[in-house]
Amino acid sequence: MRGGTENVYGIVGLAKALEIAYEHIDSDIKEISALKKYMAEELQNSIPGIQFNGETNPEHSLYTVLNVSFPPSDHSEMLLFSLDIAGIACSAGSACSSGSNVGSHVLNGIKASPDRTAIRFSFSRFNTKEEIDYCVEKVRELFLVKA
Amino acid sequence: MKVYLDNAATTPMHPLVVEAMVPMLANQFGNPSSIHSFGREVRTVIEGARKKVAQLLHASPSEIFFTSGGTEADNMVLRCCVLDLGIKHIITSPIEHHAVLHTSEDMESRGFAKVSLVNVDGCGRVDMNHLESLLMENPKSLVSLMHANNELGTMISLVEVGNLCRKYDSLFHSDTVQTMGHYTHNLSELPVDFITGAAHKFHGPKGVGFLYINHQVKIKPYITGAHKNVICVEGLKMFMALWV
Repeated sequence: MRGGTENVYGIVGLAKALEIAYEHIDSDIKEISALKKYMAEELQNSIPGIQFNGETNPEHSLYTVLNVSFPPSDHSEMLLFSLDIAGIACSAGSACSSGSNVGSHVLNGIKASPDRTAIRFSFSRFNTKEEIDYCVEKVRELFLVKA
Repeated sequence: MKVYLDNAATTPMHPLVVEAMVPMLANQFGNPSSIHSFGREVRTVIEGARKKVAQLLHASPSEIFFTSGGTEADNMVLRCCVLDLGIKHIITSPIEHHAVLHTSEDMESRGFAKVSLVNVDGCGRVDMNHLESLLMENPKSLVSLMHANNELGTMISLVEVGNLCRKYDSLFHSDTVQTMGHYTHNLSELPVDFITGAAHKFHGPKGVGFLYINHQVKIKPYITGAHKNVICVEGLKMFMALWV
């Protein structure tokens, strides 16, 4: 069906990874969903004007992804960079003003405001509540102290 | 403190996955298409992996095709549906992964298929009424809508979209790269024709993924070259086993 010599070790790794994922799927869903909910609540309590992009009903929302929409501010464009300096890895997306070719086609597709900064935090079974606390604290520092 | 919160981009490998891979890297170097013992051992390992994946997803091993990842699997679906199955119309959404969007655009720009984009709301939810009207106007389409959006996390109902596709005699592909290994997919019940997975999104290695193709759909190889005929090789293996 697909020509070429198979990626043997990759295929073995894939099957093993899927097997492990299925063994723990119920507890992972529970724990990672709780982390996501916790981070959303902590951010909401910390930063006025914060919103979330995408579906908010947890039943129809991927439990590993939290897309945070930060209110406009002078340093929000530097947010991803500042978090990276603080040792936190996440992804940025932005809606672009018309005519510009940069930015996320997804955020443009849902007509997100180009004035707000979107940061995607995405979780796995290896993340902890302590890591979320550290991340929220850093976001709070960057956002409020410098504001 | 270092904190990794970008697991939708990629995930760290599970130590047990590394452990399972090491013997294949270190010792079992045979070409799985070789019919001697070195090859047969490796072929057995690959077919075991295919069986495992199929079992977990309630599919048949002959419906699982390993690829280089999600992007290749998505390309394979779209291009093969147009080139082999005579699909003339693709319905997708403006917030799909570029593997689907750019491939659809390519099919359209070459004049092979027309592409329609279904409306999504401010949360990334698919407008099901619009989808139905697009299907009504264009039966026998290919619908490609991701199970969960990689940026927003917004999900579709595979059952709802799949049933609508069946109603209008259309094929349904869902890029399930973000949900594979994170939710259970029961393919004996789901009304889908194609779903995809990428190992590195569920603590596996990069550069490997798979495509599920419902057994009722027949497409030709997308990557052409020497490729084994499983039944033939398996038959030969049994024959060889009598000799060794």
